[in-house]
Amino acid sequence: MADMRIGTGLALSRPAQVAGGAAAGAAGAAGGKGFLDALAETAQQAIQRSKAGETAAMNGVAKTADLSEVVAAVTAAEVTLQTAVTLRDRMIQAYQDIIRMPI
Amino acid sequence: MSELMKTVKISSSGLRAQSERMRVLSENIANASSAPISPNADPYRRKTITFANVLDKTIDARTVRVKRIGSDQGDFPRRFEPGHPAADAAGYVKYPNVNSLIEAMDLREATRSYEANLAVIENAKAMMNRTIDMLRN
Repeated sequence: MADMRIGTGLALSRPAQVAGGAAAGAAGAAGGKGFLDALAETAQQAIQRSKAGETAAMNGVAKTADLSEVVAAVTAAEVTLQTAVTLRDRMIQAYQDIIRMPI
Repeated sequence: MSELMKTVKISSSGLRAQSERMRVLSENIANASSAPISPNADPYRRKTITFANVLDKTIDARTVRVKRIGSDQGDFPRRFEPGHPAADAAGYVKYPNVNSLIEAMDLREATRSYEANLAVIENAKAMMNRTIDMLRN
């Protein structure tokens, strides 16, 4: 149950989550889905802000953008990426803990 | 967008405003002795800068913008220099109404304001990083 959710969370695909089984959906409908949504949203934001940060950095190099704007955009990208990476690490760690669980 | 990210954005508008202020100040200081070339012409007129708060609807917060770059309407000081090409009939030359001392103080204030905004950005960033660190072990 948990591994399905972790798997879908990493793949960021909603249909997979639906296919993940009625049990997972029924058990973690409120908590699990909300967290997945948050994770997916963070990843989306990370991608968007990384792009914005890259664009700002390129404009900064080309000297068409103001330095302060570059700082703001790059900070946003950096923080969002760090959040996404940390969340991912956390998820993978939980996944590995389950894999290593002695049966 | 999180509140701390908004903070970074607002402070970056402050950085921008203060850097524009520095630009205007540098113009004033550089032209502090730009005398006219003929008796009828005016010397360099000191530039002033005013700020205004502007509502940034994307983050629902008031950021700072440069409102207007105006000119100081104060009188030009006159110096007795009969040999100057811009001297009038009485031998006086009009000099720019720039007071270097005022500009120096203004420059210092602009620097301090810039540093204050930088400190806000640094602190907001540090707080965000520390919060993310909470997720790590």
